[in-house]
Amino acid sequence: MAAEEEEGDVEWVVDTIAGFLQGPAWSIPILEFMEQKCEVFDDEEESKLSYTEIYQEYQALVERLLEDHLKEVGINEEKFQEAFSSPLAKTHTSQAILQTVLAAEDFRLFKTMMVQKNIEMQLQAIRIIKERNGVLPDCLTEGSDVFSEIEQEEMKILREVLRKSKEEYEIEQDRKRTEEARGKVKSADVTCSSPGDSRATVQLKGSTEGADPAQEAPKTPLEGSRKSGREDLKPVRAFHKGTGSSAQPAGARGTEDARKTAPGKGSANTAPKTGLKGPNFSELEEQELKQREDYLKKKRDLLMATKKESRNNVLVPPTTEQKKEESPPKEEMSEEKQKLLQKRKMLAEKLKEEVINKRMLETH
Amino acid sequence: MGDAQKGLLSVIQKLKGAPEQELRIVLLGLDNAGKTTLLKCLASEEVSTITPTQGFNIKSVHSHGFKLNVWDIGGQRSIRPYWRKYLGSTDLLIYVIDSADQKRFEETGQELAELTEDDSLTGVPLLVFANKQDLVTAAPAAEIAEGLSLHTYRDREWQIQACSALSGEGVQDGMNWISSQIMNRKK
Repeated sequence: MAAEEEEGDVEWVVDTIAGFLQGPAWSIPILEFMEQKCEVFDDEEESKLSYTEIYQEYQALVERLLEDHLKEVGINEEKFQEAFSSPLAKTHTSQAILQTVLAAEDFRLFKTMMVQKNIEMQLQAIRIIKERNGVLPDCLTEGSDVFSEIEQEEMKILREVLRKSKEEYEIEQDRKRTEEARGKVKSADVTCSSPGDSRATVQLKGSTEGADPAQEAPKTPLEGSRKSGREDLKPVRAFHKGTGSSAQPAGARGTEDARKTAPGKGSANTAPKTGLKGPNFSELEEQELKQREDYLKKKRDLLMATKKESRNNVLVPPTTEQKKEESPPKEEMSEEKQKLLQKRKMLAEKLKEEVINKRMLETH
Repeated sequence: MGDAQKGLLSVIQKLKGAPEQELRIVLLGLDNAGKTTLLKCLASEEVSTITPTQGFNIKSVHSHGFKLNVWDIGGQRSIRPYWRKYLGSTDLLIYVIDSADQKRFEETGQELAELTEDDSLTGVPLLVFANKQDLVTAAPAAEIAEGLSLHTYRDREWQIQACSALSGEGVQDGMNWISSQIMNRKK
């Protein structure tokens, strides 16, 4: 009877500890430690002296976590020893559960764990970069033997494609500009009546400011405006309308429209990116937007003057309006690409900085 | 490390299911004495491409039913202050000497004397390998023992063994002495 009770007690102790080792109170601090300290661990056979310090820190952490928990649940050290010396301990736990504890008593196990974590994190970083950018920045490929020549070749092609698309976009812009000049007379009306696309997009700006997935979409019309003031008269005006009435109900519909306008790929790609960047970015964006707004206001005034002039001179064929309504989506697409290009550049810069800093830290 | 932790963790350590008893051996000596070569020799590994150790190496050697975890720590002057960090719970100390480097006999003797004064090594058996006996300029083990004043080491078991880590000669004799020490201690 007494023996049975004792066995139950032992079982309880073992199960309690095993449960603790699988719970967040254990795994979170352990994982945090590993993630913070794994950077210096490479899989060279020779160990660095710095590993020993980190190992001792780890031992202290494991000791503290275990002791605290034992105190908390009221298991004294004797009971713990007794429980874990019994055969039950083996059947109720597994190597996987115990690994993080065993690593505190076995330097080589600890080193293996840390090396693994380091590799894991490097791969994760590379995956995130790829997800964000579509391609890896030069600083991560040049001089590295991780990426094959084929992959490098692919990146060259991608870069070429991006360059070409930029060129095409510029040609298109020029073409439109000349067209626009011809269509100026009527454009005052066009601006006011131009319904769907641009306006929806801009209203979206008003109602979902800072919302992650849409961040890139609302920017595009304005971005375009800065580059070629003329035709962007339209979005600017719409922008004012949008913010002026701050049309909340239109928001949902607006999002849908905007998605249609700036087609799938763009918004899908940007979602994880902006999500990771957080609020800082949108603040910056807001500032930029304000600057652009001011700039565009000036431009608009100038344009109004030119328009008045041209209205007196030129007559426009009726087909222009049709054309104009079709052009915005096309334009936004390439704007999207432009925007992406810019962002990629920024990210590459950032990464370069980070990688260089990291290397410098490592060499010290 | 406190004793409490030793208690907690060593209990869990037993669950690793290792049938052999593990022993900790620390391998020290000046730079270029041949510590890493000796370590590789013990582990029956290739000894041709060895560079100066900046950190440390660990290898396990199975001997007479024991698992000997041998720690080889770099011997350059700048690293020597770190030695003491590795001395805790050491079961046996191996000290390696370049028998052909007569100019540094005094230096290596001083290092050894300081080492053996460390509290962590009190009573720990000491095996000195008079290495590089393959070189013609190598001093014989007896001469080195005298130079080190090994006869003054009274509070511990010690042994000096001539060897060549490169050819492996004499290394096994040293290991046999280690085994006998372990067996004696067990009794």
